Amino acid sequence: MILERLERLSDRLARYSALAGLGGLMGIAALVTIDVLGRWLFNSPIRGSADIVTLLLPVVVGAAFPSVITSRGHIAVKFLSRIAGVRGADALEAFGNGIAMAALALIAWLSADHALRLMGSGETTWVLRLPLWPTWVAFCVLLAISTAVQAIVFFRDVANFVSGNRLETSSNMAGH
Amino acid sequence: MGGIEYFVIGMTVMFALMLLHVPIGFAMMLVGFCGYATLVGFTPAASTLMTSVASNVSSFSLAVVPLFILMGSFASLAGLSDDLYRLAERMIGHRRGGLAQATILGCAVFGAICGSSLATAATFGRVALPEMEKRGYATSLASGTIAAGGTLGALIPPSIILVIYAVMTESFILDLFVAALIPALMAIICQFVAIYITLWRDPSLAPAGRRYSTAERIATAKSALPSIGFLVIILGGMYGGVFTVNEAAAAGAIGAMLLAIARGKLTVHTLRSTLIEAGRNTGMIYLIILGADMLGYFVTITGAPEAFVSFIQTAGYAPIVVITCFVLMYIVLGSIFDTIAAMLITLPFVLPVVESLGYSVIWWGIVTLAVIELGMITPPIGMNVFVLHAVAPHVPMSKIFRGVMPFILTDLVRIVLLVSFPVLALWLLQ
Amino acid sequence: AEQVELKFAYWLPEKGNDWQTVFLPWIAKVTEASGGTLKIRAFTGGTLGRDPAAQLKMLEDGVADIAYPAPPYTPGRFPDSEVAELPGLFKSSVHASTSMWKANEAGLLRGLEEFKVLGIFSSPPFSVHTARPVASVADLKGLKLRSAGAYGIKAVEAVGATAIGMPMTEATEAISRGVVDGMAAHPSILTQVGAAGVAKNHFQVKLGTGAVMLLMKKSRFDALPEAARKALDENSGLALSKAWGEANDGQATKLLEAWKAPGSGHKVVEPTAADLQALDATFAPIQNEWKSGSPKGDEILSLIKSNATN
Ligand code: NA
Ligand code: NA
Repeated sequence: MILERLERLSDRLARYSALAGLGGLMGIAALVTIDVLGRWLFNSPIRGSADIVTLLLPVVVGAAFPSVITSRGHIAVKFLSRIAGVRGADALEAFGNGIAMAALALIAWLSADHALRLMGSGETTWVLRLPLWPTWVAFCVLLAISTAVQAIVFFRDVANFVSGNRLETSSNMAGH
Repeated sequence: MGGIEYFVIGMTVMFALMLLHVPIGFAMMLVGFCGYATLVGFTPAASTLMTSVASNVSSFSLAVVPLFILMGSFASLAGLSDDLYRLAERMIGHRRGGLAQATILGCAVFGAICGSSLATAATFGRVALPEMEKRGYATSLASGTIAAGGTLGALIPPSIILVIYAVMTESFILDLFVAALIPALMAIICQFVAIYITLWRDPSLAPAGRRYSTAERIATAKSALPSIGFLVIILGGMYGGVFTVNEAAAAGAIGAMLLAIARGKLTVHTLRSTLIEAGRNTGMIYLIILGADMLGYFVTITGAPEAFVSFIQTAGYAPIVVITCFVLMYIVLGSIFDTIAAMLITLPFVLPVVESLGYSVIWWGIVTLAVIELGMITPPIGMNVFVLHAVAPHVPMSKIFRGVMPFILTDLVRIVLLVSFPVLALWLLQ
Repeated sequence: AEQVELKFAYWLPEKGNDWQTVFLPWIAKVTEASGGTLKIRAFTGGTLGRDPAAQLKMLEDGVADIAYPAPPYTPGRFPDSEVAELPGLFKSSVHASTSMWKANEAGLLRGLEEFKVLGIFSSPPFSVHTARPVASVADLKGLKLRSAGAYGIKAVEAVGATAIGMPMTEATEAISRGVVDGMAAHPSILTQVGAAGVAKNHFQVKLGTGAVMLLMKKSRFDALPEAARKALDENSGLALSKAWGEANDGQATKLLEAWKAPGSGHKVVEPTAADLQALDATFAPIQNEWKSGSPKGDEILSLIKSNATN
């Protein structure tokens, strides 16, 4: 019961996160487009638009991760599961998602450290001299969310394995 | 134990993890990280991982990837693919196999703004498959044509694979795009040839259709005008010097969205689903890139690439033999692996060899793209075939694979030509 | 004594002039002088880390023992070193490099406290390279020029051009297709990024320079054997900075001579005396702006000016 509620919550979180992130990407696209038009028509590009892009991009990318996880969309080789049986497939899935959780936790932890160090050193963007650290705090939060979301997927796999329930089939399409 | 042993152990562990369902990106990342930590130390490994993550997620060059994804999704939503297909169909659809040819042309023109093979296959699976089935085309031919035509989405620039290749090899993106133009034209011709061969063997697979009147054709062309205008602005702007590739991708995403709005196709619901879908694809691709980059640092520090280069040089194999081996390796990897992952895993030690043999990095990018895209339609793992099957579940996978066979044959011919005559890729750059 | 291996992270290609003519000989000299206590293993082409902005972090975390960070990539970390970006101040790379070293030696540059500075270098002054001919400062008005860094942009704007920020790697493509008219750079950069084939008009205004440093972590240096420290000290510092400057000035001169040669297809234009005078007045406010933000700005500027005369 709790797991189901958590799954619904993380699913919603992942959608909002992806929406916000890709909304941010549309913002970047709009900024670059206006910059191009300004340069082309009026010889006046936006001052420091590259700075804004630098600050926004990591947030856009970080915000895209949770939806990959909740949709079980990681690109993976799901080859053994065909011969491993239902129980075996559940075990494999749990193993893969457990490792993914560990890796995400590692990046989340490293980005916390990265954000703290940027806070200490006071590094800024090139032109507008905006501080870099808020971007990396946001990135760290998004990675922490991704880790939590991945943990819920992992617990679902473990629950499936323990109860012997069939795993819902997962898609693994990439955008290329 | 030397670096080479660590390299072998690392690769073995990585493939084992992948077999055990560990997502490809994380398998590469963890092996890269743990390997680096073993060789150099934990703190340096952590630092390198974070540096690699930070510089990739803030790279403006890589941001072209999600921008092209967005442009493709919005263009598809705006009905651009329908327009192109309809137009091609009215012009040549009456011939025997004309609908299949129209599908290839539609894929080709759509591929000129879409960077992805899968997106193109999925889009035309929705647009062209029902039309061909309605007109009595054999399912194998119809679905095979779309799966193969989908590869034009990547073979015709812009191409996400080429963008990633450019970033990883530090080459100019536009050089790669320009180098891909003649090979892309060859791909279109080869696919036409494949259709001819199929119908020459069995004409009953595709009946001829009715011929449209000039008035009907003009009406269709008129209604396709906004789509054609959009294509001209984005492609003209990119190749004609108004904006750089990055800017074309950004302006293209905005332009395609405006087109969708103008045509009343953009609702809160479609906007939401487009953005979420694009977000998911973006996340998937970045996770692979992050993993491959960390793996690359580990592979480099083992010294394996240098050893590999000097081994090949002292062994004195003819360059063409080495290149042929690489091509065969990619065909095998491409059959069982995700394409971007296959390219990224092998790049750290393939590229130094290719360079040391005196070949052009740009040309090798084009060859890699061609071989990898072939993998998208070959069994057992052909991602385009899977996607098409997902769009049209009533078509069995075996049928699609059967339909795709002639296309695989002509693709092989094209790859042999590309490998034998690098000038096909490099001529436009001179 | 036991041999210590130092990892030297170099993010630029090993084919480059600086690596071949300055750092390779430097490694040989240091190793030789260390009497077997030192081995320097070079990782060129960014094999330890490609991101120029990450070179300092690599040093701090022990990924590398010797690194080559460029202050413009980490704005805010070395506020005083931004003096190198000021337009109209430096006559050559030797002038800029030795000035920077002397300022560091006098303890005038903030941000270097944790580091053992082996050398500070700064490029030849940037000038303007365009696709169309430029005959005078007045011709610069309205041109779109690729430039970077807060003061680099201000300098370009001060002469009436429009500063366009884009990655260096995009500049060639952008110039060749008319997206921008040219770029602010020194001659070697121009050839490195392949832009010399498209921007063949070289207007020799003296804008700012680009600084780069050769650093170790202080704690790492202090832990080295006596002989190793001595070998590094004796072969680094002012002499190394000067050698770097000479190599860069030499390279720039060589390229400019080749471009001046008849039939090269290039055109090199020196600004007139009147233009130079007007530029001094144009650049003075930018120099003052930097000075007001740096506690020891006065001292640094007068050091640079006095260093120019000897
Ligand atoms: Na394409
Ligand atoms: Na395949």
